[in-house]
Amino acid sequence: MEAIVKNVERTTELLAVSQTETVQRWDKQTLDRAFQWTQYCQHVYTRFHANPTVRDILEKQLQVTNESLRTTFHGYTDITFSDLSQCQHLLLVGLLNNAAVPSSVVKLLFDTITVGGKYKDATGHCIELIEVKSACKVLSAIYLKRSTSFPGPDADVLGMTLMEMLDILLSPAAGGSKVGLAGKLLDNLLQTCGENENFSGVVAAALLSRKNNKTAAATTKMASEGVSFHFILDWLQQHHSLLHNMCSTLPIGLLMDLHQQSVRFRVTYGDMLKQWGSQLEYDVGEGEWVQMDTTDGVSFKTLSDHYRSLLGACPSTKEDVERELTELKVADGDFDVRGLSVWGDLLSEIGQL
Amino acid sequence: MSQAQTGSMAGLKPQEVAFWLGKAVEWGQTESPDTQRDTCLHLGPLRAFLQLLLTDIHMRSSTTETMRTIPFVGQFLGRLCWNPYVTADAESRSLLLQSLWSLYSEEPHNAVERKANQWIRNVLCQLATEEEDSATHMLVKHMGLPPKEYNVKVLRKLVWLLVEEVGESCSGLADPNQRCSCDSVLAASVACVPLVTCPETAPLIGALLQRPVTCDKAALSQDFLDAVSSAYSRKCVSLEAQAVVSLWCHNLASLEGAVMSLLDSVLSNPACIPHNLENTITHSLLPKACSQHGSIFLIVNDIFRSMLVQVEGNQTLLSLIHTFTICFLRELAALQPQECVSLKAFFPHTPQSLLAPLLTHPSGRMRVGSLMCKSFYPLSELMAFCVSPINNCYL
Repeated sequence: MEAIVKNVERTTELLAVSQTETVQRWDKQTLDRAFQWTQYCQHVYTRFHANPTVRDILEKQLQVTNESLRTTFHGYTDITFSDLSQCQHLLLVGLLNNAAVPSSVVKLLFDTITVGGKYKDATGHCIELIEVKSACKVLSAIYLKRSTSFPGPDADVLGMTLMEMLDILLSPAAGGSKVGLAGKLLDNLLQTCGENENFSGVVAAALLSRKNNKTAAATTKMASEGVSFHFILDWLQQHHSLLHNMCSTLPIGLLMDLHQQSVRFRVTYGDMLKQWGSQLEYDVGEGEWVQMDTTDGVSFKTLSDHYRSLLGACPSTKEDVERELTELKVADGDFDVRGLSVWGDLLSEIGQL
Repeated sequence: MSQAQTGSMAGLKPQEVAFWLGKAVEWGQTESPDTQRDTCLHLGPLRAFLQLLLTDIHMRSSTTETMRTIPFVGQFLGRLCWNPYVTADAESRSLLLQSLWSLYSEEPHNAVERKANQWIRNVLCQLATEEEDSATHMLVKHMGLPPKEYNVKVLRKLVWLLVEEVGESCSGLADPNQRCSCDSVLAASVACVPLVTCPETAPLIGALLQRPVTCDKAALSQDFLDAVSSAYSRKCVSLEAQAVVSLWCHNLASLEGAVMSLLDSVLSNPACIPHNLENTITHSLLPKACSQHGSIFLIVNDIFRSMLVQVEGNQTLLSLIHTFTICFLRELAALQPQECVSLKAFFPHTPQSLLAPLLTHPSGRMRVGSLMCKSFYPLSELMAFCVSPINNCYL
């Protein structure tokens, strides 16, 4: 443990040094070693990010290191524990932005390697990066022409990563104390994204990732397969605006996938639809159902689209939906006149097709 | 015109320069499918131009001189650096970087050179570390995913999704009015031209090559086939065996190239021991390809035959053909029954009724030998496998 703490401290110092003029003396060996150390820190992160005890120790050490480095290095940026996962990237950014780095060292990073010495040393590291990023852009351009390209590959990768992280945090072996960490993780991510739609796409992709990976999940963490999924749904219940965002912006087809996959989601989704319906008011002048509160609702048309898709999902769902809407219509007085019950009007709208 | 100026015109013609400058601007302006296709189709000529440009820069004694004689160079290279089709292509990328480094002055003598140095470092830094979508990048960071790993995963996912899409079979034959997805295959093959040497995209390249050609629109772009073929001959791409066979079916030139390459490597190394010879031949994948497609067999046969005529009596060539036949027969025997090709495909000019007795009758030995090549021919193996019961599908 001590060794790890020491090593992390040294690497943090290394990162600070890499942004100063000392790098003038760097050569291939120094560069390779620096890269290896950052790789090491990334491993430390992966190994211990779900372990609160070790994480605590390292965080405390980093605070101490940061303080001392702040006094030594002008313009120093603190390194936190979560920064450790980005260590190599931080080193790279520091070096490439540092005019004092000898051009020979920079050339190494951009050396066009013929044989893959991937991840082993620094040579050609930047070339690989450029190759991968360019390839992504080229392929995205052809892939995104399709309308069924949601969730996109980036949301997909993030969603899967999220599920993997939750699996680790929530697996029985880890003990119950991690639930807090899992919740914090999701909260942090939501906070990071803010009003951005990105996160609802990622959450949807995370929920869907189980469908695609059924065989993988079956052999590994069987217990947590359902656990992470349910955890996210639980968490969504408490973050109503995100749930609303998800249900109103995602393609309905995706929601149908989730609907088929999980009973729990059906309930959540159904409740959402009912809530939307109850927020609609009939405008006698226009002869239309309109949203009372435009920030948190959807239009009548959108709502009927959702219900229509549900009807098409499967026969038992069709029955359930019709029954539910009928019950609501009856509760409203069971009138067949338009404008008196949103449920009645929905029924007749979707029944027409 | 001064010496320097005439020198600059020697390699780079003004019309060429104007053309490529215009292209670079055009490609940078829009991201439409048309510009994308245009870029891919011009990659070959662009590489040639970049090579000329690099040679020109090397001729100059200093960056100051370069900036004076070919002032467009900074803008031009800069634009290309931000074109993913150009940076995805291994050769163009390499030429771009070499050009940039050639403009870098180890000991800058004036403001121009200092500024050039700074600009070059900036471009390189941005290329390597800039993340386009900052929102996504924040998410990546907070999930503890290193950016490089994230990008690799996204690329793999994209490749996987596209392989699935390419694998969808065309239903075009059933209903001519229904739009099939095959035209997207052509677009995908064009877009993959810069990606043939990227290791992560190899599965997609293979999937495109192996996609059955069931309708007119499912053709692969010729540029794509040429690019794959060239990369394969330079050993810059790793394709699985079936993909290579498909490549040869699509592109005659690459097949011929492969045969000539095999002949070259064997004939230039006459002291080759038989075991190694067999390995070399099997690795070339030619026997496998010959066993699956009669047309490939005939072409290879023709090439061998003409070589025999050219270098009559060459022992190395004879043992090559001998060993090749053994490998070929082995591949033939290993085929699943549904993949069997009738022997007629291999011997089209011989009437079927004659083929069987020729193959079994002792005196037919030399005659069938002449069918396959004008030389001593190891028919014993051929006969042994022909009469064995499991392989009766051939007769």
